[in-house]
Amino acid sequence: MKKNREHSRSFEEVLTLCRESDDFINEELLGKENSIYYLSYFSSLCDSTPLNEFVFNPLKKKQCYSLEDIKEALPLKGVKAVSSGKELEEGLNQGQVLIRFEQGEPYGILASVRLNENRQISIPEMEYTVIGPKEAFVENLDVNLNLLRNRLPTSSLCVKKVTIGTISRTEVAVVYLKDIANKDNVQTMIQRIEAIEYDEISDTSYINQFIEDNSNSPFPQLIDTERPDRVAAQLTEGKIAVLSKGSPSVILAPTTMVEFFSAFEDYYIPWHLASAFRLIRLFAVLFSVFSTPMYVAVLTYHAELIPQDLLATLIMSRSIIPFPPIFEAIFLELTIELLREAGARLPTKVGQTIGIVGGIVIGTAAVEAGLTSNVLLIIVALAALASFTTPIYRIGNTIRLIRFPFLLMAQLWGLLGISLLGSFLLVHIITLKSLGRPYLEPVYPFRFRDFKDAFIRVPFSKQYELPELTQTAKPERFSKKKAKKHADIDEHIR
Amino acid sequence: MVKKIRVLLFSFLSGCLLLTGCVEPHILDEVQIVHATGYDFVDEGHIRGTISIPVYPPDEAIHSETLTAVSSATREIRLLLDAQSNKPLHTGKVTVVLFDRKLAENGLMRIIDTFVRDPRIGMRIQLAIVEGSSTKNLLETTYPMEVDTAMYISELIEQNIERQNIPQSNFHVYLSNFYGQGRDPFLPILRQEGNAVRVTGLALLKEDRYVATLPLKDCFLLKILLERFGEGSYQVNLNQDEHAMLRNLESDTDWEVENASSNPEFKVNVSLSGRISEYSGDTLGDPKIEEIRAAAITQLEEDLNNLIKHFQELNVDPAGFGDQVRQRDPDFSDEEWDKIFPDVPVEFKVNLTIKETGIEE
Repeated sequence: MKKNREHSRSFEEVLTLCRESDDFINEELLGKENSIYYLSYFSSLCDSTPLNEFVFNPLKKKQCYSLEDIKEALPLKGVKAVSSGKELEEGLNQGQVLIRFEQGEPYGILASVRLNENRQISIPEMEYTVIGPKEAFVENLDVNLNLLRNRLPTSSLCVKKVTIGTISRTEVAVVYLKDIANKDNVQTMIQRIEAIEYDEISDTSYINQFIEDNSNSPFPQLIDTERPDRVAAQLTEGKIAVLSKGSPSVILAPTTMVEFFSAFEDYYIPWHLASAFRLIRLFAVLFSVFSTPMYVAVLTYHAELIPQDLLATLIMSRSIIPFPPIFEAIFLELTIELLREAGARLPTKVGQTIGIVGGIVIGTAAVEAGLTSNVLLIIVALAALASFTTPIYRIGNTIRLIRFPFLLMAQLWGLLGISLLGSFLLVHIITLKSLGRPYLEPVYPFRFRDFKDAFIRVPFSKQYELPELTQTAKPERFSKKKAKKHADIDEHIR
Repeated sequence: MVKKIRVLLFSFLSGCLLLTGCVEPHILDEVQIVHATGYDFVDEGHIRGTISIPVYPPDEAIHSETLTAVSSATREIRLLLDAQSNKPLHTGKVTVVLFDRKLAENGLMRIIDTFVRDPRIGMRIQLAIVEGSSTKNLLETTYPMEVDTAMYISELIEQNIERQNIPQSNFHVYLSNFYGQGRDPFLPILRQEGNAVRVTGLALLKEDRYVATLPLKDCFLLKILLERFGEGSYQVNLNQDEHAMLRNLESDTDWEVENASSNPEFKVNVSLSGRISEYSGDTLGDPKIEEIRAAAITQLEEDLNNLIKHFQELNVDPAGFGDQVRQRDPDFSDEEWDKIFPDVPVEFKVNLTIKETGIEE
């Protein structure tokens, strides 16, 4: 396999292959005093304005005798002579134009007149925040790097580029802050990316699945975000970002499980509010995973756990339902999953309609038809709602999925089954790693220092130490001693 | 390695499927939930068991139904009751267990034993003794204050424990009093009166047999001996037609036992703080309050002395005097205590603080 890729085509073979495409242009250009240039390029990759202005016009006006002359004649950067087939193939496919004197010559000049078609930088959609910057990454790697450099104007911001994918030749940029990031982390990340063997890499999500420590786990071990502010902030904590060409999401590593539940808005609102919201989110996740299985377990095996006052409500709501709780629960859970899936596949406007149709019509109808109890309807709807509170989309999927094995265990063994599967899951999470660093940190291994930005977020003034997770080269963000008190206005109020 | 994991996984999963047969599901709406049970004395060899079950008709109001069976053993009663029910009976939500007074006189433990063994039975359920009528009648009656009979009775008892004169009592307390050395159990007594049920006092038990009744007003005295914080009411008589009602807010009992191992002598210091909730006279001035306070102390000391004398005459010890000795004497034995308790000298000293007297114009 690898050998095949190394073996490259000859200069002429490349051109012959290219000529098969109809958008490959070969044209003669008449210069001064009957000099002729042969130009070859992909019309779909080249921008016609600079092509006319910086290639055609200068060549027409000047007489060139050698390739060096052409090089000088073109007012473009990166003009270079080419003689190998490999270089030529790469160049032509990146929007460069080949200029030669004779049609059969196995050498020429490559000049870049690349056409850059971009989406405009827009508002983040998956990680929208009310407060804070409203820009999100786009599909263009250079634009994304530009966004990062604007936020971190320091020369220690390092960008290492790796090209992966045998066909797609996707440019991947590993970004880190040289004086903060741990060298081992950087090395590991680059190694893992270089080791990727695949033909086409569409998105960082592909890379994510290749470089994850345990790709068989349902839990995502690397964060992917579309917010430049999040990436910039995490880089200063010694994390490593991976950007790739054609992908608006950026991978961040190493990370912990708790981080998946911290919205970036948590840093834009006061610390106590942020902490409260973060705890609510964590509670929501637990609720989302355990509420329906608990309902099934309690109603099937542990009637004695139901408070006396709730008993009548539950029995009344279930009295006309012909199914056992498990079928009722699976029916509703699947309905919600269908709604979500349909909503995600359809265009936004239709999706909203589906939401209303599903939520109100199906829900009410199912209860009235006696297929499900209204108590369970409330529980399932709340659980679904709770699963959408996760700021990182990827973990939301996990939470929705692991509910089903819990449901099954609740049916098989009741609360015992839930706790059994819970223990299995806990053991699994404990063994997980993110870029070789513990995933359940700071809980396991217990690191008190990192609790300051885990379940709660302490004020910035208390966050002078960098997290232990990333094993940073530098221990502190700022020196606690140096941070002096400001001499403020102190008006005495009587 | 991978093979090993696969084998493990396979055996685990198949184990799951095989073992599921062992757990018996009790789906909530497919069982008949028993809310209350009552046992009546029929004759020397027979007991009548009554259960109260709530019925949830789809379009009607909830009401309670009863099932009854007579047999010689409680387990057989269960069998006969199951034979009358369309769904299996589920005892997990029993909130109150009632006993006929006649049955209580013959000993409760042989019935309670089934409840002790059943892991579904909670330790916070209420046990009570019914006088005046059979438990069957009590459970069969529909009470206008609450649709579910069992809820009505259990809430009634709990309310009297939390806010009124009855000391803390439930299945757990009963068992710890029964099995614990140096104390005797007690249970609330209920009496059906028309459309309502009334708590008339406490039944004092020796071992598991009914001995005597402690009237409701004296229950307050037992309550202040047993509990630190407790609400309850106590009437102080100043003279024939002048009296005040004292509501207890807080009480603290300090037990002093001398010669615990040979001839125990008790000095019990009861510190009370309370408020005057009712006064039959005109105005409450400071001297009047002081007068009430003095009268209350004398009356309380007298009543407490009478109470302990009553206990000693019956040789029952619900207040746990024996337990106090046991804490100080490693060689304590129940048999010994039974012999000496009737003659143990007890001295009460009451300290009363009146915190409020209510709003006056």
